[in-house]
Amino acid sequence: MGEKKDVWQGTLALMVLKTLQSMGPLHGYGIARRIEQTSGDNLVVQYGTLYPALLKLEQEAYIASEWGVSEKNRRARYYRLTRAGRKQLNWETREWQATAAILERFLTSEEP
Amino acid sequence: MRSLRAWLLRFVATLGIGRRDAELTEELETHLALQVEDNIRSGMSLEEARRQAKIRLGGATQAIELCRERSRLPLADTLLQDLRYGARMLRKNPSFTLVAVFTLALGIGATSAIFSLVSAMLLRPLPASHREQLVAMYSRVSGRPAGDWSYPQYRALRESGIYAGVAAQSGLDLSVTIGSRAELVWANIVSENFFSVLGMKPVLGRLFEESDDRGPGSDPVVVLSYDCWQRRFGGNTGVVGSKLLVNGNPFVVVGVAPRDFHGTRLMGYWAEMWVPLMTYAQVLSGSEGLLEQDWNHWLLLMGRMPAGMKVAEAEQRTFAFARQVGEKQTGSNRLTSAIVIPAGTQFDNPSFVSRSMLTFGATLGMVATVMVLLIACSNVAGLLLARASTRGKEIATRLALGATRKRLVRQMLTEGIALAALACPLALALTRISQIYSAKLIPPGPFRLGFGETIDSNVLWFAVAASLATAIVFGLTPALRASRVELIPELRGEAGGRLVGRRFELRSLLVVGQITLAAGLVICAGLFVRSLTSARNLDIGFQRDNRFIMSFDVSVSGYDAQRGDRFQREVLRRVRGLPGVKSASMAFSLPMDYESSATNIFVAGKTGRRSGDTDQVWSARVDPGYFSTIGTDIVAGQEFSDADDAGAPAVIVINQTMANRYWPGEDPLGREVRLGGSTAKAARVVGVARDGKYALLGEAPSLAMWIPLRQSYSSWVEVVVHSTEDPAAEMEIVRQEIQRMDPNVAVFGAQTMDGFLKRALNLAETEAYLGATFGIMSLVLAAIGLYGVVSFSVAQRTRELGIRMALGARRGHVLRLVLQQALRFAGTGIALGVLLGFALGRVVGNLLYDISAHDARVFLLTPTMLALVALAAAYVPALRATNVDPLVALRYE
Repeated sequence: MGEKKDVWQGTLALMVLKTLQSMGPLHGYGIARRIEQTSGDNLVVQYGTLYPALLKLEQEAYIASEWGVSEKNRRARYYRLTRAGRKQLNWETREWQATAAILERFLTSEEP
Repeated sequence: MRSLRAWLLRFVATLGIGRRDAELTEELETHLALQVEDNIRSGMSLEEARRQAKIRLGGATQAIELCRERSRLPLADTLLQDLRYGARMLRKNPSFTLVAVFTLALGIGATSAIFSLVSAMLLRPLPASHREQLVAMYSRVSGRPAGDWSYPQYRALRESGIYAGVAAQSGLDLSVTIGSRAELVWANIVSENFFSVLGMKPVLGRLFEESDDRGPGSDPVVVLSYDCWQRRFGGNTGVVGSKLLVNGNPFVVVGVAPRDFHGTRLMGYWAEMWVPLMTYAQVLSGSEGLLEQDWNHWLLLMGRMPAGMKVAEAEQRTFAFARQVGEKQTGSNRLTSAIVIPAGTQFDNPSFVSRSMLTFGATLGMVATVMVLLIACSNVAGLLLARASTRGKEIATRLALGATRKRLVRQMLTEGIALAALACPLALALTRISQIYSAKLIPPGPFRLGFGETIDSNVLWFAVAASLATAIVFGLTPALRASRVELIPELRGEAGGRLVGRRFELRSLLVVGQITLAAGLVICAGLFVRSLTSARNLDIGFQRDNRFIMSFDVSVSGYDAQRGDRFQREVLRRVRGLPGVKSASMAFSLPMDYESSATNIFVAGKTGRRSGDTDQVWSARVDPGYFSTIGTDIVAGQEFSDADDAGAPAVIVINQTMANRYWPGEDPLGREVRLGGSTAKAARVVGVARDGKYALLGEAPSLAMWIPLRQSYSSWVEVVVHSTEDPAAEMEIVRQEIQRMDPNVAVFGAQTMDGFLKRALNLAETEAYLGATFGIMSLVLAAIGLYGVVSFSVAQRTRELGIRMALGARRGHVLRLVLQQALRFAGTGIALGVLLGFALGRVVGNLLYDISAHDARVFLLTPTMLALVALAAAYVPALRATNVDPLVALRYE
């Protein structure tokens, strides 16, 4: 088990979008937990990192939010993916996969 | 796109619209609570759960701060904050704010006022469309200055296809009967496409159209200027369609030209009416065959270049055109070239209206004002510096708490901008007031000349730009210095008080600079004021008490030379017979008049460097009795008599300078002078008049001569009357007498000799007025500056002074101590200022009448006066220093 890293800046937005796609509408805490779980607990999501990112995504209209009630009857803000968000997610996924593939070739092509 | 949306939302949020912080706090609390629940579920105690949750999630305050930054535009946020803070500071110190704003307003207002003058002189745009396409064309005949064109040339240029449109105009005076009075009105006679080439729209009715040109004798129609419509017709909209008598002919008013349009000439009379070119026969006397005369250059041409053409190309093509035309011409006045100048703003003949003179005057004015503005800026900078140093503790605290220097500087700069923003409207108000006053400086005359009259957009932008610039200039330095405090000493309160004797402190430099500038400007003002006094007492060569003049021009009423001559003689006879008239005569023109003429003369063996060369001499045509009426002594021979008539031998009267020039030490009477070239008609000298001034008050002695009016007819004459009593009453009697003889002859320009000379004095008066204004302004500002610096220094030294007094120093001693410091500043400033004054004096030397640029009285009086002012400014705070209670001072932190 390695050190829990702080979530990388640029990728957090992508992870949020993916999470919302897989899980449907979630509140902030739910998103954070899910990201941490999916990373195999290798990442830690602090609210100083999460909420500004959520704000930015909402300003860019990739996600939308509204107040709702959680399972324990608490008032919480729920976020959901918009159509534009869906499109953006697909596009970014493809980009990342392409990048990863290229890097893969570099990192495994080494022959002494 | 997305980021634009984000930016807009952030911008809107800064203004206060959008999600509020409370919601975010609630969200974060929920998040924390959920985390805590999870922790409890995994077995921790409540306290432990909470602690772990907080560690895991990080700082809430930081999170909120980050979100806030993200949800708004931080820059706009801080700016708003700075503005609010600045406004609070300004409200807390009303006296400081008032003094600072007033000082700035003075400086910016003065600069804007001068700029408006400059803008009016050099930048007056025509109310036309696509101004950049407008040009004016001037013809050149070899060896002569640029000039006008003839009618056939105008038509040829119009048809040459070089320009999209060519219009012609000329200026003339018309005798217009409005109501029962005949008034002389300056008008422009223009081609029917004049207004369409310029692209103007009428304010009322219509302007000239193609249909107005149906050949000579077309419908006589007239367009009024806006100004004329307001002044002479009271802005009555029913004026369109009404008839006016112009030179005795009925003309129909068809429309009113755009506001602020007075014709296209920069230094010309303001046109009040426009008449079509084709009515020339009715308005121009002696104009038969005018349209065919190839050699008669009387039309000023303007053109609109086709889209995309540049002035250089237009000039090339027009030049080629002129050459072509010139080659086919016979006789005199053959064209050799042409020049083309941009005409989007008011323009004038480049050979005569020396733009360099205008620019020189304008630069001088701007330099003086910028100096005053600098004084104002440095005053406010000093005030800000003083205030900043008393806020040392506050600044140190803020820095210690984490504010960046940049932020502090930005905040203080914002305060500066707020001050400038307050000063700007006040400055504009001052500009308006000074415009109204400067309008009074424009001398009266038969026609009106004109400069700017309203605050146009140029001036507005200039004022705003000046305000911003000054804000940065005076705001930045104090801001930079203030933020450089040393934290620990400041917080402990030990940093109070600058060391006495620290020489090159910024504020001291500023105040010395102010005093220097003020001294220099006051010396300049003194020179101008002295110059005015001496100008007023100059010997002009004739008398002015109990004398008046008025003019009339018979050609506009259709008189030819014979009838005109008879009419003039009759007028003189009748006027001489009126009671209250001691003597009367007629002249064209008078010394220092609007119009003047010069004659080329030839004196065998004396004139010019080569044989056959002529000299040019100021000349006037006068009737018998002129010299005695106007009060010029005849020192030899006699003046003209009734015998010097049209058929009699030609005679002239010359002045002393002329006599000494051509016949030094000899008797000039009876000598021959040829009027024209070496083979021209010869005239004999019959009298010598005392020297005087002829063109400008400040001129060196110049040649002058007089010719009998009866031997050289002029349709325009001025009647000169020496009355036995009050000229004002007599003027009206004489005017009515002439009017009675022919109501269609407009009598105008009636004024006393004093009033007439006012125009000649105008330049000297303007200089003195402006100089005094600047001098006083800068003096006031410098005094305020000195007062401020001394007050501040006393406040800083309170502790030290308190100690001194506690140790036994007497009040007088303390007073002397403070004053000494102040006077050291003042002394340096005044000394440097005198040097500046010397330099300025040399620059304005040739604008001064009869006094040297190093006039002793001015250079002795000014420093004395300034020293007294400095003493007064420093005395009050110095007095305050002596009232310091030692006990209070020692406790003062």
